[in-house]
Amino acid sequence: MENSKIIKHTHDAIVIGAGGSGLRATMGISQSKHSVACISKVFPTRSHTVAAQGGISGALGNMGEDDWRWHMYDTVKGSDWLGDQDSIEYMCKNAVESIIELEHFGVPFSRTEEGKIYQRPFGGMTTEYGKGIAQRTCAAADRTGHAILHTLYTQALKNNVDFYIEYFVIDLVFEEGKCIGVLAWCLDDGTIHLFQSHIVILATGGHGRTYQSSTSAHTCTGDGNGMILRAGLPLMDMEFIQFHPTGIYGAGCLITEGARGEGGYLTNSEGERFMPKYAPNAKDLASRDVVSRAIQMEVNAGRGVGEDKDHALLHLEHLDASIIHEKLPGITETAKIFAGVDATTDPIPVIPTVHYNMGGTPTNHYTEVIATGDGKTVEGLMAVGEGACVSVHGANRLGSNSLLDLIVFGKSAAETACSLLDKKTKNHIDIKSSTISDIMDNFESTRNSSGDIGTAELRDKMQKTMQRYAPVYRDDETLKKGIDIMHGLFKDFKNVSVSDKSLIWNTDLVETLELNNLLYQALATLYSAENREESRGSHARDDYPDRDDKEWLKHTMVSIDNDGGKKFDYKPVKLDTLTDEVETVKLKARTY
Amino acid sequence: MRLSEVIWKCRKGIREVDILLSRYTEKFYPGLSEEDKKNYIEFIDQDTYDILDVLVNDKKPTNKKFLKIVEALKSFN
Ligand SMILES: Cc1cc2nc3c(=O)[nH]c(=O)nc-3n(C[C@H](O)[C@H](O)[C@H](O)COP(=O)(O)OP(=O)(O)OC[C@H]3O[C@@H](n4cnc5c(N)ncnc54)[C@H](O)[C@@H]3O)c2cc1C
Repeated sequence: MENSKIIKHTHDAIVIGAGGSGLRATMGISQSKHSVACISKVFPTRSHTVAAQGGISGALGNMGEDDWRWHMYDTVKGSDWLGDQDSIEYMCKNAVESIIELEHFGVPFSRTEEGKIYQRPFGGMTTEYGKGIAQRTCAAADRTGHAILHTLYTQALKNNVDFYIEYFVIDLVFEEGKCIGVLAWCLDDGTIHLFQSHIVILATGGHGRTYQSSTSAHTCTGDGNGMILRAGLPLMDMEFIQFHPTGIYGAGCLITEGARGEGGYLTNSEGERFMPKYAPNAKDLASRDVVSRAIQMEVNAGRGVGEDKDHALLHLEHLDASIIHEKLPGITETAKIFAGVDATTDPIPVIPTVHYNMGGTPTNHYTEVIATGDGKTVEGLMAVGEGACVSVHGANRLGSNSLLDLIVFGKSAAETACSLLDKKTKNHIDIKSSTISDIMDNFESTRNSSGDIGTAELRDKMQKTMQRYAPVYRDDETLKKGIDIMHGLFKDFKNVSVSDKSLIWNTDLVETLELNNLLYQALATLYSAENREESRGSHARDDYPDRDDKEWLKHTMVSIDNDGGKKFDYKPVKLDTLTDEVETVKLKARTY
Repeated sequence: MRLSEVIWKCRKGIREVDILLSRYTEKFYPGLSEEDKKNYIEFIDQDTYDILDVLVNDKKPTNKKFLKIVEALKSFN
């Protein structure tokens, strides 16, 4: 395509992504004098945030005494001390105000009898530094993400935001080291657009789909992270991935923890109830990581279930059918549809399933993207949401802290963007035509690619490789093997075959571009996991079972070159807090 | 609506829904009658949770004309 056919737009700021984080940032900027556009590949309310049910945390203290410092302590401990304490302080302190704001925007939170926002307990959330159980998580029935998305979208529309919906962003545009916009493809009419702006905010979500079994919706391909790596910039802490122990084998759909809470239990191929071996007290009710690891240990020991001996069975059939229907609604239907079993008479096949990505595009707590271990920022570029790594979750995220991350840092992004824009001249710089041609050449070569491997086939290989070689429990040998295979798959991308050459609703091409993003991130994950010789939070190494604060109290930053080679850099963990309102949570063992 | 556009509209943000809609669409959408195609598009255009509720939470569809679609979606996997 000739550059002259590219349609040009200019805005003060553009936000890529219309999930919870992108919409909060968009809305914030739209309240200022600066112009903002929001670009999304799917309709905003179809973003993955819609799936969040549990809720959003914040020390409102509506159900009893609470303190943001306790929330901060829990978050630092949950992160296994890899989280940056300045960012965590910022998030926990600003939680209350951010949630009250959501309430004012119109989010219909569930309420107590006195009319306050109701708060429920959630794993890892405590009072008085681990002594009691906190009720800290606010929810809008079991549709919190849905309520937040719809409310923020309505608010953004009120403020005349320019939405570009069903536009796929291909790559970031840089000139003289500054990010000055993006190139995007309109899926509906096939036109190519250059969005030029002083500030670009990436809010493109997580990359769960690098794995075969994940709870992610189809859109979760971490496109922004792919763009970052292609631009030669690093991603941070990609080795940290949270698994949920009971995703349905082959489908990824979750069977809630409540199933084990009601008396469900796991068995291996010998029919043995194995959890008591790994957690003599909690047994099947042990925490997510313990149960996930136990399943994998059984599989590794050759006691996995099924043809490939690669999963476990979850039993509910001993429970009264009426209990299952009443206490676990939806589970029998889910098991029937996705596993083909009647849970009242037969066990459900389950496997540890990717649930959350702690790693992503590194930022400071102002949400500015960081390029190096010493914290140098990239002019014009910011990032928020699951795709970003401001590092509040460190090595492991606590449930209901993610929605909070979206909202607090979405708002922070808007504030940072506005204050940067206040100081800038309004003139946009000239973009060299070669800058655009380089990106378009890549795009065209993918579109015209007619090799011998289909997109779905290559994606399948990548996902199986991640599942097998970068699982919950890792060791040097498996990871090295994984790197070898993934490096080959990364190169195979050149031989991908795109059957549809058109530009209108070419989902084949979209999925191929997404696959390229996924391959970059899969490789980044494997390299980082192999490199980190310790166990911390979600990163559990068989060959290095202990946390090693002397060597590894630092963030991994990895960049990937065009040939799939790697380069590491490290960023020290920020143990110092932001203000003297709270003291550093001192290092100690993470035991519950 | 062309097949590839319908496939894109099957991305509803929740894995369960995405899987059921996209698998069914790829296989059966092209063979539907014009009338059924129209109803199907209307069905998948609903709020994600309205779709989830009828597919996995055992709720009745809001509109009778969706009954056939729901049956087909649930029995196919
Ligand atoms: C089943 C489930 C339940 C969960 N429950 C909870 C919970 O109870 N509490 C909690 O705190 N967290 C929960 N989480 C985690 C939380 O939902 C996610 O971390 C969060 O929603 C991510 O939001 P986001 O704004 O970063 O991205 P998303 O909501 O994923 O949005 C990404 C946006 O980017 C756009 N985009 C991506 N790529 C491109 C591109 N190339 N071009 C244009 N646009 C693009 C998409 O269209 C989309 O609008 C849950 C997760 C799952 C899977």
